[in-house]
Amino acid sequence: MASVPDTKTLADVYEQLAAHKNVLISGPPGTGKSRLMREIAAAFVAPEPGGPLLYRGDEIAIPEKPKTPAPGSRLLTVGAKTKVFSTTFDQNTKHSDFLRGIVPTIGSQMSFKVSKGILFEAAEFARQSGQYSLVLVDEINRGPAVSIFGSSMVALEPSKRLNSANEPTKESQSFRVMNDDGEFVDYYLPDRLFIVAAMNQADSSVDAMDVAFQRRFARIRLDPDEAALRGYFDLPDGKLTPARDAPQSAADVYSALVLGWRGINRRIVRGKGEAYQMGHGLLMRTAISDSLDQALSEASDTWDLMDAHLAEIFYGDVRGLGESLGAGKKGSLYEVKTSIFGDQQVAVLHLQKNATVYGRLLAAE
Amino acid sequence: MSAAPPAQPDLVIFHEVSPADLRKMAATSNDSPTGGGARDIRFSFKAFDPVFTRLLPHQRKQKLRRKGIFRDEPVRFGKAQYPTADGRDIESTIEWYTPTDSRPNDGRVPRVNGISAMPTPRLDAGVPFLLIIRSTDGEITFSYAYRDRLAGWDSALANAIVESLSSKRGKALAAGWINLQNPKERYIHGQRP
Repeated sequence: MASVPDTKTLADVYEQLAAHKNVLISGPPGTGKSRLMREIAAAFVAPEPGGPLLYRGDEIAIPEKPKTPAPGSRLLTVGAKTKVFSTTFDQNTKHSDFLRGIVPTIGSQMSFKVSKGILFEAAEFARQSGQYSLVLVDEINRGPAVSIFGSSMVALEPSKRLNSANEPTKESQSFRVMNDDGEFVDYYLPDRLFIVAAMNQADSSVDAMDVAFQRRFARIRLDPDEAALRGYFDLPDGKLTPARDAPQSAADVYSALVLGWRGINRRIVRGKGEAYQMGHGLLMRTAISDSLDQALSEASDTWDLMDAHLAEIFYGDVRGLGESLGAGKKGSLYEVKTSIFGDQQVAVLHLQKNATVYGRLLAAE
Repeated sequence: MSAAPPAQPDLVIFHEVSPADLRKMAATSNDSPTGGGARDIRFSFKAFDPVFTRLLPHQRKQKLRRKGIFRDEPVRFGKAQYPTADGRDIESTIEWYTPTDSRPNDGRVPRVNGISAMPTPRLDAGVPFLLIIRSTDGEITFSYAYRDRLAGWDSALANAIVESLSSKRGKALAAGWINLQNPKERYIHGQRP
């Protein structure tokens, strides 16, 4: 499947789901993947029938009909029953948690049963007439995804599924799963099953996902979004010009945050790659205030978060850390010096005395 | 997480809630904290009996005093639901009674204070209208629309409520009904058909 252009809108995800049934959202931390997943789940509602609708218990129980239907409604038929199945992968997630497998039975000695994992439950739900399932897998690359999906991988593609009447076609691809009695039977994934997975490629504690697996998902990539950040801080379009020596207003502080974040990200891309950038969400934890003192206090907390992000991705690489902070460039408050420790040359990052957070942000621009 | 589709409303009966009705709902009618006095909401029997007969699916006979004697009178009834904040449904029976001897022109929804599925209206949003709503799946529920906050409501229903206010005669309360599946089928009390 072809990758799609960088985009993050809900409508785009549903467009890809309509075409490919499986979507993989990727992006650095703080770029809105989890929020987008929540929005995808909320929008997985059947199209509304014609005429007014009754929402029992709502303040406006019979609203004027909305002009724009939920993006998810394009996948579904009027009156369809929908269900969202959510899971998060980790190193301990197994095939039996996701599909089927033999697991011990609690409370009895040496007794086992065949599990019903989330993908299996979702597939069974979607095999019923008029029912649709959406499986959300967060942190898909934090678990051994290829192993967890197992042989179902070959049946993920739309053309390999059952048709809309739940009948196999010439192209349908079955795979083997256990039935409730523990016998292996052929199984197909249904047409009305949709999968959205999210991953942060910069995570280092994960198994690699092979190309054959990834090609079965349409890709949506989320990138750090400066426009979203400017909107959050109510900063103007165009060049940001905060006071250079000392901030005169809260807006100066927020401008410095955006400039410092942008400069550091630019250098991270050069040294580590796009996946390691800081998402705009990292800065959007900052509470907005008109007070200069409050803004400086919030900026200090945000700087600590940015600092921690850099320390993580440049762990053991002082020169890389220094480079990302702009060490050595004109006006920088950082300098990478070499000293001797245990008869060995070591690099040490020095920060100018009395350097303020505001100064560090502007120096990192 | 499950997303059940919303229901499709068809019949909606609306009735202006007077201060006296509010006291009935709170079981303090007759200006008595013990709640003495009638706790009925009254409608023109001639105008509303046909729509209550459509809206309430069941009928039973009940001994009621009419024209001085107890006799079997038809009582229409049905189940109404209202969702609580935690997603459960409260269920109550709503009934429609024939006129009493003292008010021969009025049909009644009796004992409104005992209909636990009927919420009480807000008091800070203008004149409230009690809505008795039936959906095409046969379920009945209640809601309130407020004269000063009709923006956002289905326009056919909101227009009918506004017209009912301008069609009031004398001390009569505004009321009417509308079939939202066919909004031309409606009745506004005080308007000529």
